[in-house]
Amino acid sequence: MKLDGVVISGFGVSPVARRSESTAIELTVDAVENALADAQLTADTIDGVATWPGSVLMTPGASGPSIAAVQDVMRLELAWYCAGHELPGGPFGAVVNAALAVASGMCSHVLVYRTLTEGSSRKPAPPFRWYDELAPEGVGGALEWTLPYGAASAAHWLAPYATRYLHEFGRDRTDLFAVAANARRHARGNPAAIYAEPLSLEDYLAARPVVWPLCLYDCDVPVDVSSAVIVSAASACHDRDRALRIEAVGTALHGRPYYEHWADLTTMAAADACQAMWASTELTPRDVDVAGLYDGFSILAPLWAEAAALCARGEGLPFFAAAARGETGVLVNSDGGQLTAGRLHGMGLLREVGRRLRGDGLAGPAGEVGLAALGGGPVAAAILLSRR
Amino acid sequence: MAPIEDQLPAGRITEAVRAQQVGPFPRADRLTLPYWEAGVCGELRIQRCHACGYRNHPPKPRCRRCGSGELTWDPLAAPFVLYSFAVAGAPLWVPAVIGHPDQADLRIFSEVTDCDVRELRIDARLDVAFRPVRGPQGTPLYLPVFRLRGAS
Repeated sequence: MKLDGVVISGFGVSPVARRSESTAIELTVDAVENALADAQLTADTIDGVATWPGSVLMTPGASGPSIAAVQDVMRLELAWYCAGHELPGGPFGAVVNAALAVASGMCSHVLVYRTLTEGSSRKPAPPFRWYDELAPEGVGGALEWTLPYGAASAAHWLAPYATRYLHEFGRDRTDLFAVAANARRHARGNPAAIYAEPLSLEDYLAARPVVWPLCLYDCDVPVDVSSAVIVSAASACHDRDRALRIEAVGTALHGRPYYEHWADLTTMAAADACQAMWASTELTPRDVDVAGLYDGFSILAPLWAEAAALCARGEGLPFFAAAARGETGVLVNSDGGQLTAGRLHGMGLLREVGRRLRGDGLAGPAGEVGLAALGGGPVAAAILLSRR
Repeated sequence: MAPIEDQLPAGRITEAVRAQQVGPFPRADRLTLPYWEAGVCGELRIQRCHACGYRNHPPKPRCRRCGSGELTWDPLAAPFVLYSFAVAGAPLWVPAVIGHPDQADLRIFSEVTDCDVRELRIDARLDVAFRPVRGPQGTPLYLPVFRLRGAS
């Protein structure tokens, strides 16, 4: 897929908090205003909106405001808009939708936002059962096969990936620690990080299990936050040098679309997405200078590294161990990732990659090519940004 | 033995306790009811294509391999295989992805019950058992659950 002339012109984020006083729409307006300022645009130039998931019934704090609510408060005049829950790579699917709308000529500047208030919507003490309200007639669809056993969260669906992966490649939790260790290393440079203090291997191994083999420090931190990105036609940008070209995207899904039916739990749809992405660009994995690899659960990040061919199959954890020592050529999850900076649902990783490429982020410039990747199991999307 | 299983937490899971912790019941519609009912005979039944023999799970309106609409509900016999698992809690339970030697791409989401958690091993052989629950309008349904073969 060629996306000629499509760029990311701005990033915005609200304050990140474990528990914010602000409502979801207030956080969203904050993020949108920041993204507009970053892109040197005003709201009257926005002619498209894309988001994931839109206003749908999800677990508490997971869905955020509707496009209607954002359009109304920002007084947007839209040529196109789109929200959907069933997109490749969640919010990255919304970024791809925005890029397609720009590439087609339908829009000049598309706002993408993702808002979560999972910090202040923390679940009451177990046995909390969010699904009881959803299922007075019993659960159908994909959940019919998992919820009757009590498998109600992504941790239940993805922890078996970790067990199988660690088993097949002869790794253990000491090896898995590398992902959290890399995150903590970078969190020290991020004033907004929730977990900025160092974490020892001993403390990691002794941490409360969430769903074994994943412990507390293998799971991202629920927060209240809104992130916004503006996807633009390069020709409509004031500052062409600041704009980040969307070189390629990967959204492919070839395997079975259920967490538990993915045939090989040591891989994910990430492999399909990355294969499609690399097939559509002349750039190669060796060109990547900075990567944001989804770490909603630690195990996903090494699987993404392997899928994107940043390292060989089965070498994802040694890759992260090297990254934690600063010994990889590619900078990985350099804001501390979601494991320390909070669950921004991929949008924090995308922003960090973009700002490193622009050289105006937490640290100096980190090169010319950046990869951001979001998803787990059958859900995956990758975005390749380039300044070349 | 792979090292990850050496790091399993201690714990024992009993079906008597697990049966008290049931989640919401399956919708068990026209297409899926045969799966949830089959336990009444003590058998696990998976939808099977009469034309090509492929086992479709979750059940489909037509075979996802050959497209045939001739689908039957044949028993699938033990041994099953523990393709992967996790340990959730508290109280402890073992979400599991089950495989079967007859068809490499067949997976069943379930759990391992009545086990010492530290005895769990990837690729362990399993037998099926059934947990009775009440479905729509009180219909008796049976959730397939699995036990380690040869475990006490």
